[in-house]
Amino acid sequence: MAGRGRGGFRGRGRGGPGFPLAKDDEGNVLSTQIEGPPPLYPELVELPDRPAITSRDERLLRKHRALASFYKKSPYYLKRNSDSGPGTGGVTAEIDRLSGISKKRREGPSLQLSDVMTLHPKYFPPELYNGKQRRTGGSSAKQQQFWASQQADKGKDDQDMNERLAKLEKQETAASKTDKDGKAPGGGEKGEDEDNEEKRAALEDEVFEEDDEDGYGHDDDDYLQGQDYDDDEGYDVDEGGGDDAFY
Amino acid sequence: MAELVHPEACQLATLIVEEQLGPICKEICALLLRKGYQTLFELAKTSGCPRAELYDALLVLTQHNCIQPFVLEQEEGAKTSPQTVFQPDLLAILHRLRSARCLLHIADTWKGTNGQDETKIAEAIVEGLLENGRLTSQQIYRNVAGKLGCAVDDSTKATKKLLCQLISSHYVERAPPANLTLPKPAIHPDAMAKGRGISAVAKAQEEQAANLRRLDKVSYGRDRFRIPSDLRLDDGHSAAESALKRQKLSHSASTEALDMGTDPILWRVCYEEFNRSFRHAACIAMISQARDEEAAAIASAILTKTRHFETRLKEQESQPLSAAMIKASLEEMMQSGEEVSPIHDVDAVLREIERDDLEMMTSSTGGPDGTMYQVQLDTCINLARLKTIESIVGARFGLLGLRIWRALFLSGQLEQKTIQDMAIGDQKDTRQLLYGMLKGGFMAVTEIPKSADRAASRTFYTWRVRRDIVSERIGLDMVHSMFNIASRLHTESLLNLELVQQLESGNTTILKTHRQQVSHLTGARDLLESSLFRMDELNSVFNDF
Repeated sequence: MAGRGRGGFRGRGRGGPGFPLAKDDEGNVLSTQIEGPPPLYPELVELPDRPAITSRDERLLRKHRALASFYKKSPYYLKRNSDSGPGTGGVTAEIDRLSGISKKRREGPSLQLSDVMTLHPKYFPPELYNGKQRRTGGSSAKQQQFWASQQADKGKDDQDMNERLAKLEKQETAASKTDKDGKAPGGGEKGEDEDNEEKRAALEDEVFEEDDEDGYGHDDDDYLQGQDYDDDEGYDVDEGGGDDAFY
Repeated sequence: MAELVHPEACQLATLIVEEQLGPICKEICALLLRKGYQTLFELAKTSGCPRAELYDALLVLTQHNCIQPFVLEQEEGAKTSPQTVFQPDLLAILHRLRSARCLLHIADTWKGTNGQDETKIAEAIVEGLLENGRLTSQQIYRNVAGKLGCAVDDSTKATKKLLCQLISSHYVERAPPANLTLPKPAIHPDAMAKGRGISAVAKAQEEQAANLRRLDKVSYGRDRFRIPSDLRLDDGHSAAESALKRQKLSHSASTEALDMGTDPILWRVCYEEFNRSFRHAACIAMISQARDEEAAAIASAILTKTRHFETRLKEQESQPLSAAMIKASLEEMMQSGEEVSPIHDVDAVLREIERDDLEMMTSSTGGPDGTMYQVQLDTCINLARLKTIESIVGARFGLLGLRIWRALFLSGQLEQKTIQDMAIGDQKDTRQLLYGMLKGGFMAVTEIPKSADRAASRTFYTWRVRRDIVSERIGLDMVHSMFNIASRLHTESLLNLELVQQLESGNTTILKTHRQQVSHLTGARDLLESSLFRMDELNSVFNDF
């Protein structure tokens, strides 16, 4: 009877863990002990094989890139005026800006939206354009010119970048062979740009040429000689050590 | 996918718009997708863009069918002019990823009477419309002439003929006008509060009917594929015949006369028809895998012949055809040069179709033309989805997981013990896989408590697979994957921005050190873009078909 009163509660609490237990569907107690620290790295996932690009994929890619290229160069691609300011277009844009070659002069006058779109109130709400834009909308001559230029660019873009790189490699190997033989490569029809390319490539090859005996540039450049070079400096200072051996 | 407003679908759409139409259009598009339709005033206020940029962006997005202007309905007797709102079209933006696939479809399947020349012209028309969004017929003639490299007058006749054929085949449609009334959202019956009584319900229904009646007046659906008179005339007939036709037309309905007036008609690509073609191709591929090439050829013949009778994209089944008509359709396909596997005995193949357990193609007797055969499009698409789901389950959860899933799919609702016995797995692994699949959204669990306190030890847990929920979940996962691939592609381009700019400008003066970077970048782009197209093909099976 004493167990029912004050001691009863003590009896009930004895033997139990004192904290909630996790149990599964059948009522079995699940282990909740932490076995060691968590792993430092997640498990290594075996990645699937790289998918092969089929001929159909290549055709799709070609068409997709032709469309993407069209959109980028069309008046439909709207950029902010601040996007073409200094420090925003990367090194190429900075070179163009500082060299004074205007992109507009190179590519021709840019087209307006109203030149290529038919702005009719039936399809476009009239509050988006004025009467002048509507009158000049869809001008056939400018449209024709725009489409012709896009078609011309498409011909250049069709050449795969890898093919262009392969072509460049061939040009460079031909140029390096020419420099070694001392002869001009066949045909005097090269443009100035190709000459500059060859000169630049030749300069690179000259700088990194491995035909030198020690792999360095000029022999009298002591900067490249490294720590073994004795330039006779720093020996005139009298440290006052006398003729004792120096350890 | 019409009801899909998943956040990642909207983010994917903004990525597509940014890549193709620039950052300003991307901002406006993102705003519209986030907030729904907006008036011009609201857009000007929330976007923060200068007016000129905002107007240009709205014009470009409308031109490329990414948004559609509507007119807000006003109450009768209102004194203010109707307001224009701009509503984004999420599906149309996501379908822009399929533009290359559409071009490929036309190049591979369009067979004209003049062979390759007509195929090239058809491809040029579709390409011009994809590039420019919307064009008038005159602009299409000029565009095609420029692509083919010939004078406009030389190619106009052939282009006009091909344009008519494309409109008849529903690959090209009229652009919708900007004065359509914005359709009001349908009132759900549960949304009507209790206690309002019948009169309120009747009033709401009448209002909806009135809206529909008003919509019919300016109905775009009826005129969508109507070929105007100026395209139908001058098709090679003599001047006298043309004059006679004009006279007949002048007595016809007033809508015909409008086509000859000053309002231009803008044409655009109809993605719905391309999706229908892709859906048919998916069904034929499924039949080819499940049965054989001959059955697939017969399915192709049925679908080609009955294509024009389909009124909506998600038709459950094709129109029935008799054996004689199937044979005639097969012969037509072979004569037109389509790639169809030759069938030695069509009747034998049809008899096998009658015994098909999968019921991808069914037959019905009792008609005047004998036994009629039809393709069950819904069944084929469901089988294609099932195959994809099983491959995903097998890849993620292994063979045991696949056995468990199949056992539940075939048997319905089962307890864990029964599943374990059917799948021949041990208790621990089975439980782990079941909860893993529950977390992945591949199955559902139902609690059947024996006592009121719902204690776990006194509750039955039954597991089941609900195909529709799993399909929806996989569809969303696919959009998520597409977004991941597209954003990775975008990041790769940003990281190599200068190199990409050099490549796009055609500057081939690339130093040695950059060439490795270029080959890495082009390899990565090829892989990511081709993966994106493949994901889009799979995604269309779950979300569009």
